[in-house]
Amino acid sequence: MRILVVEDDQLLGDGITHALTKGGDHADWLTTGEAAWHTLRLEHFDCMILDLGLPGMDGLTLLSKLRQAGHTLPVLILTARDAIEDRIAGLDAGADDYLLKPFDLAELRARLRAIVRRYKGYSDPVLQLGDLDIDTRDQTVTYQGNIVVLTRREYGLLLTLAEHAGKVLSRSRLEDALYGWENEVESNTLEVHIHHLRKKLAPSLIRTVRGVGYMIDRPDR
Amino acid sequence: MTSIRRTLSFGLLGAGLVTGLITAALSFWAAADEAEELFDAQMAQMARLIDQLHPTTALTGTAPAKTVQWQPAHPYEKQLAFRIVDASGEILITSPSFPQQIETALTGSSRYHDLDLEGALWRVFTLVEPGGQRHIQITQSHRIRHELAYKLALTNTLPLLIFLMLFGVAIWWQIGRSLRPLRAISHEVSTRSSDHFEPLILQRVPNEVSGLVRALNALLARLQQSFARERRFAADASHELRTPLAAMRLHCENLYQQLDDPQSRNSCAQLLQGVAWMHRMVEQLLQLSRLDPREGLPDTTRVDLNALSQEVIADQIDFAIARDIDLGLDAPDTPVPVEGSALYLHLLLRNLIDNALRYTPPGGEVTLTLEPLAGRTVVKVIDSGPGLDDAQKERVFERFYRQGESGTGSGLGLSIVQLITRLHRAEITLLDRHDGHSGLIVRIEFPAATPLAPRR
Repeated sequence: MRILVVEDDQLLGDGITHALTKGGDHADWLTTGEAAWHTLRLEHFDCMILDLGLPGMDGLTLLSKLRQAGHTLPVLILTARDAIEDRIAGLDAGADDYLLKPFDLAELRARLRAIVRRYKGYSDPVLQLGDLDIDTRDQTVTYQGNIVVLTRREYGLLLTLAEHAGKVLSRSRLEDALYGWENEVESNTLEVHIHHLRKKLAPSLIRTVRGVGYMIDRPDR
Repeated sequence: MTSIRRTLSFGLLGAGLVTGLITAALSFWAAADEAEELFDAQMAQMARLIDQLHPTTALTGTAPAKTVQWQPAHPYEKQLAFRIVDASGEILITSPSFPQQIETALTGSSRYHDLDLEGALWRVFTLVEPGGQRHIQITQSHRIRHELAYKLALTNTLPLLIFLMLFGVAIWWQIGRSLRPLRAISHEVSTRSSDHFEPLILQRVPNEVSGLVRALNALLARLQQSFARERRFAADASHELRTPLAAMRLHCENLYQQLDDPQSRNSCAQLLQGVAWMHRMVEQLLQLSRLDPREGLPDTTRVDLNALSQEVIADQIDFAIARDIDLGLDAPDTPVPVEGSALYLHLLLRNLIDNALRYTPPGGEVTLTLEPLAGRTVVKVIDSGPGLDDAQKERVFERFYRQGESGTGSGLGLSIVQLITRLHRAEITLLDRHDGHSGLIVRIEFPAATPLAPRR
């Protein structure tokens, strides 16, 4: 993945570029909005990491200008300001996501992947989470290399959880997901399906968050 | 403390009293003196009247002395007496009250003199007829003269004293009235909230005070600026610190990936922990600096604590998993409404859970419970940590207080919690667990959901 990093802080810019390059991506680093503007007119990038507090042309101005010029590349904003207004301003200007400094490297990578995937319209049909592979084309699930046979409901539940790996999904949210696959959900069905999934895959794969819901851990954690 | 009203009142009243009393004394003595003069003139007049009315010859040589008797028409009448004495000193006629002790031997000219008779002072006027055959003597008791003179003088002075009294009351009232704008200003200033920097209104302020009010307004303006600067400083500090923190963290993570030697990796991991600790400290200091108990809540709505709790737990689950702690919620299926600020309540729950997770050893359990209680709402965070003894419970809300060795917290979390509960008029208590496990229960009771007072 080719990533453009626009960050005026030397220490941070260097850190991000270094980390992304080490992770197998190709990262280019610029320190001003003007430079980014000119570079983006000539070259193609898969996504951009943009710091809002740039000298000269600031991040929001650059972003608005890009969107006006018809650039659709996914943009992740880095901001040091946690006021809701600042975040909304960023999203309004056309950012796809934002990350508050200081951030976790794994989180940065996950967010980047997410906005790129969203931009490409989920072009990757295989969802991979550690030992778990879900192929959405033929709805097959592989765990530790072995194909696991699941019912349609179980598959739907697992896919929903896997798509939101690292996030707790509430019972009602998961029950909604089940409705999509079958017409009726009995009150304890969710627990039954979770129980079956754990038995067929691994007991520790799906985590119960007492009183809230269920989740699958993100493998990079 | 000095009071303008007291100083002015006492000063004016004192000056009035002194001058008034001097005036009163002078007028008293002048009146008394005038009265004496009047009495002397009356005595002379009386002597002349007797002289003119009484035939000169008829009485000559008649003896013994004729004492005129009558019933006094006025008690004071006895105090005024007369007699007629001939040239040889023989008393021709006398009023009964005339003191006998007064000598009849007489000098040649008419005159006034005072006589002390057995302690009583008498004023005597002797009129010598031009021929020298008779003397007419009029006496009057000094006591009665004084009494009358004093009465007269006092009648003159009394209105002055009454005037002084009324004058004092008027001064007190008038000064109070003049100082009313000052009192209004001090009331206005003292009841202002800390974020109210509007200038004081100069209309209806007396000239003498307008300078002070202007100075106060200038001070208010400066205060407002410095407050705004301080706020900006908090925001700026957050920006300035977050970027280097982010850089430090990234470089540590990069370094960690490159290290093979376990000892170095361990050092790097500790470095990362230090950065995380610093990050947390910065965030909480900023939260705390933004929370001002005098300013009230930024926005007050009906907040569903149930939904909020689920959200906060979902946010904190990564940290709980990293610490191998079972974090959960025990709440009814229905919404749990509380009046307050969603933003602050989120902060409250986050700090409570974060705190519990930090002080609970791995493998432990942290549970957030919500229970409605007779209209009110009770929130509890129950952990399976070591708990707190009574001394710790008292200190735990202090800023930068950290219990024991396992401190990766900033020591600010519970200060933030306490401030937010206070803003919501909720009550926070720290309890021990009584179910056989060690651990702490932080219990917060929210008042029944009635609308809170709007922000001033």
